[in-house]
Amino acid sequence: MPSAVKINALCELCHCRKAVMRRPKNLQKLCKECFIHVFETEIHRTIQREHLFYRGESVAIGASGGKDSTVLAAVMKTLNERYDYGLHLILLSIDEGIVGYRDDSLATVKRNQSQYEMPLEIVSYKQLYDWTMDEIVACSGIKSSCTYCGVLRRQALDRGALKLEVHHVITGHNADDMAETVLLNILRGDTARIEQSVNITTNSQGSPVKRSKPFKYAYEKEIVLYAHYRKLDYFSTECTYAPEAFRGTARTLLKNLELVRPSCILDIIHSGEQLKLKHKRRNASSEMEVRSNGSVSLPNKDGNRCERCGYLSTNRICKACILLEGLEINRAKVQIDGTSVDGAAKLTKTLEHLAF
Amino acid sequence: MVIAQCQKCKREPSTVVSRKETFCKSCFLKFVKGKQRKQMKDGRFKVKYGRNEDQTTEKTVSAILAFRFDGSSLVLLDILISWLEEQLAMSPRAHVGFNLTVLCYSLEQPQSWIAEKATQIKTKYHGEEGISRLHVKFEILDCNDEVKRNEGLSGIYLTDHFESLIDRSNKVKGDALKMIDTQIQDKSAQEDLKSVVERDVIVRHCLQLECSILLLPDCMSELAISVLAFTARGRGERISETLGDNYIDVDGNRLEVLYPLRDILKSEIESYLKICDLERFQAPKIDNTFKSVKNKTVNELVREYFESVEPEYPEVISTVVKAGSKLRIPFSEGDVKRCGICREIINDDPQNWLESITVNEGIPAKTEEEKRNYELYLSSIQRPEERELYTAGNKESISLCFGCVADLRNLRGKFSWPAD
Repeated sequence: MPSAVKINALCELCHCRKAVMRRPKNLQKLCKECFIHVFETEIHRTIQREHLFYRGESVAIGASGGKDSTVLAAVMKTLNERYDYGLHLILLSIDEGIVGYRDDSLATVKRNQSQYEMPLEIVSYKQLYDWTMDEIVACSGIKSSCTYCGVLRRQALDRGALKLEVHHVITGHNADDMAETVLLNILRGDTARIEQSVNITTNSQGSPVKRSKPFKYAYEKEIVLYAHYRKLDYFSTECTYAPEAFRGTARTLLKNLELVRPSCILDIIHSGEQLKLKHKRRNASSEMEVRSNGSVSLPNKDGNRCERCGYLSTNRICKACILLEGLEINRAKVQIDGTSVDGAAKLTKTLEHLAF
Repeated sequence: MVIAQCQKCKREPSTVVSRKETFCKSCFLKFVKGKQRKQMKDGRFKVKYGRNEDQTTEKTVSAILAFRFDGSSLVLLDILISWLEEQLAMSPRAHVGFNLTVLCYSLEQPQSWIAEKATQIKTKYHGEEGISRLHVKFEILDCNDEVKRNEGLSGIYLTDHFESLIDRSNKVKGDALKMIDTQIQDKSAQEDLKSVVERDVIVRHCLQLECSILLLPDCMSELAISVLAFTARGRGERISETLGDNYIDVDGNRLEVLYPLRDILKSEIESYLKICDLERFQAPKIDNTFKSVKNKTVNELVREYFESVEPEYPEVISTVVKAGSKLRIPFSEGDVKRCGICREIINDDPQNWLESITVNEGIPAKTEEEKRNYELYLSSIQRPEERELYTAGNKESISLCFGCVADLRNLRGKFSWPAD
């Protein structure tokens, strides 16, 4: 006969199975079955409430092979079948060209492709920009690597989606990422972004690709637990190029706050939804903003196109083209034969395989 | 060793370095006072002229200084007193620009300590006679007494579905401040609810005294802490009220709130205290050096964060305050609802918001063993004290804001509070 379970050891939702974890979001003690159920149902409710998709829509899942995008692919496949969304799901990966890191994570995405039976498209920085991240870091240093990567990846995802004739990309940004963005926008005084910090969907006027974040309210820890309980296959190494230093301080603060007040991630998102800017007095249509770098913002902020690449931009030349121009100026004119621009990831991987 | 020269007067040796500039003592004090004057440059506070005081009485506004015995309160009081002295010395016909009531209170220190320190401070400024000449009055406030004057404490309940209920039928007499400590385990929630009491007591006292200007001593660093702490507690809408709008509306009355030290850094407050020998009047500080992160509060963590990033990113504090001052109160549609605990305007229904993002239904029992466990659970909740939580009884619905719901979210049982 099975041993009797103590009442206070039971799951706080079903009250019939033994609790195996404390839910990071609200500290509820839950059994594995209830946790998986509430996690998936909450994502489903978010999708329904925000009307993220329409029947028959083709949706690209931004897949890096990491925990967030792997769980996103798994959950989307489950929900699409369970609730009959009628979506056509495609995996879209970006190969930034970080030898020893991205090649490994792309191998995970390729395994996910067969596990979830979804088509996969890989777009590389090399194809699009003629630069890899390893080359960019070798040229401009490690400190600004996230600036380059962030700007280029955003464009690459859009271009990849258009190549597939898909107009909706979903990404694995979770509640922790949202909360971190709210804190960062306040700390940087970025009033242009403060109101949009927690938007679940971003769709600039004139942009052919919409982006959504179905994990807006899902805690990072819960995503990891979900991947663990469902035994999902994901790549868990952090990018070897150091994260931006200031963002790192905000992340540490958020983790400390979460330790003393687990609800703080949702609390910050709620605060983010309440942040509204005072109305500007100046007449935006008759004025042009000259930025500190000399670039001029165009009067109609949405829907403008870059003169060089045709990508959506608030300036005449988009940020990616400005960054690439700077890189081209500094590109080595002569390459010594046999030298490699592979970055720290490759070196780490080589060292890992050394043995006495 | 070469002693640097003051960059302002270019005569005296420098004693303070602030914002990459060197100052001698007098130039530093002038610099800090200049920042305060900028915030109170309004004509209402300027020196009044007249043959006798009766001629200026009508024109003289009254302001209350919330004096909590911290460094910023002491610096602001010192600056205001020296300003009033300057005003009187301007001409034989000059009279003070404003009447000042110093509202002395502390949530931590006993009343005897507050009274003793208030006397010492008055002595420093030439005693009762000296301060009354400047139209400065000291008042001692007992926060506990103010809360107790309320009709009694009602029980507030938060259900598993974030529904908030209140039982007004069984009001009990009690000490609300002590009740916070005994009822709430979470230190950050305690800190937040105490600040609600503090603010409520001060605002109501201002209205009682028919005073329309409240001077709060928070400096730039403290305001930046408030901005991030409000954000972390789900009280984002409070940022605009604190930094953006300068007004508090209570029961149809409008109170103007000013932060005269909002351009001054904490390090500058500390230098000022040292130069003017004011440190001895401060309430004892709690040492957090050996506290683990888990035992700290939201405010303590945010304070430490700013202290750690300030050397590398010195502009971050002013950036946060500037960003906060660009925000406005989000408009609420329809009738304005106020929170039953903190009396803040409720912009969206926290119950709806939390319910929409949290699933509270599990997977029902399937196996025999699971069904048996469920039966056991059902019989266990039949005990009266737990049943009380789940049945409505005399309880009625009460509106709570998101910040207060967040504070009470992990509370099991009732929360006694002086709700209206």
